[in-house]
Amino acid sequence: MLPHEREMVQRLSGKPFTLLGINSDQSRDALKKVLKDENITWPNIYGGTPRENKIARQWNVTGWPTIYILDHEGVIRHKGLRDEEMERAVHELLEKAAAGR
Amino acid sequence: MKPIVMRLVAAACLAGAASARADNGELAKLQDEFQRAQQKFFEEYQAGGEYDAKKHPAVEFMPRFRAFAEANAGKPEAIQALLWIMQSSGMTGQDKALSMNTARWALKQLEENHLADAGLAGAVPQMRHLAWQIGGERLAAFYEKVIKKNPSDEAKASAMFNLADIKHDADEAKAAEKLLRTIVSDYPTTKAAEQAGRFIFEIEHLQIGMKAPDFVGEDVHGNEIKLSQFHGNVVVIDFWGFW
Repeated sequence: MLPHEREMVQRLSGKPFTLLGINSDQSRDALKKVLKDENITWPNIYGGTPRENKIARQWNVTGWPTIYILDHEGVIRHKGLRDEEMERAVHELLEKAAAGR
Repeated sequence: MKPIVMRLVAAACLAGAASARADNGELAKLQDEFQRAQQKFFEEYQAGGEYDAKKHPAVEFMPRFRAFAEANAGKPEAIQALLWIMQSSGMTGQDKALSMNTARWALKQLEENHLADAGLAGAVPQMRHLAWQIGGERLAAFYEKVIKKNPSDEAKASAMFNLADIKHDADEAKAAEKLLRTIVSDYPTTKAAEQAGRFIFEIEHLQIGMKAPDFVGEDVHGNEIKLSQFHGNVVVIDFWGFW
């Protein structure tokens, strides 16, 4: 996951695209270390452990990772796609957004 | 990726066994003994040993838990032993039909002796992942009886929640949703109602084609991040963690 996400963020830099992480690690410091060690540059919310993570609980997340893809108007377009499939879906949505402008 | 998956599997197995622990007495001792044996088994596996299902401690402990359940048939303390048998029958390395028979035997004991026992309130939430082991239809029949006969709201609501899960897996989404809504309206103070409420939120707000609800959180430096600040961008929301 992470290596692909890192490359994807690089490939799409300059495009209207955001990868937003909602993290459930043990502590804020644990996430800080992962962000640094893994060279994670995209925005990440630290939400707390699965039990405490308010956003994950509201979104009824029961397995990790859980991935949602939203179009440029904030509408949910895909759930559960990963890696290459996820990137393909993002490209399609970027093309649609560009065509609609 | 592999080490994380292995760690999660091991943690899930350990957590599963630990959560069903009895308060004291003979059964608690048996559970502790099993817990230690299981931990040793996983440690050896994680240290690089071969995974040999026939050496899983559940093989050795199954007859002992069964003996306890039979000796205490009908008593409240049998519930935890029967639960252990259902949860562990799939780990004994037996073929599928044999281990299903074992699990179904335990379910039948629960059904014949404990249907009206309020103690089922603790056991039913732990039965959620047994459909693959016992069969969805067989479990559904059990939950229907619990809903009719058990005096405890927690037990009834949990049985409804598990039944909703089975209906959902059987592509009966409408029936599942109806059960979830009944839990929230008729048993609003139960633990199952809180969980059911989250599934209803997902049904109402998180389906493909729906506008994603906004949320706000903080990054590791305490800076606020809102989903809506990325409006205009294609957004991938990734719930992740290595805990």
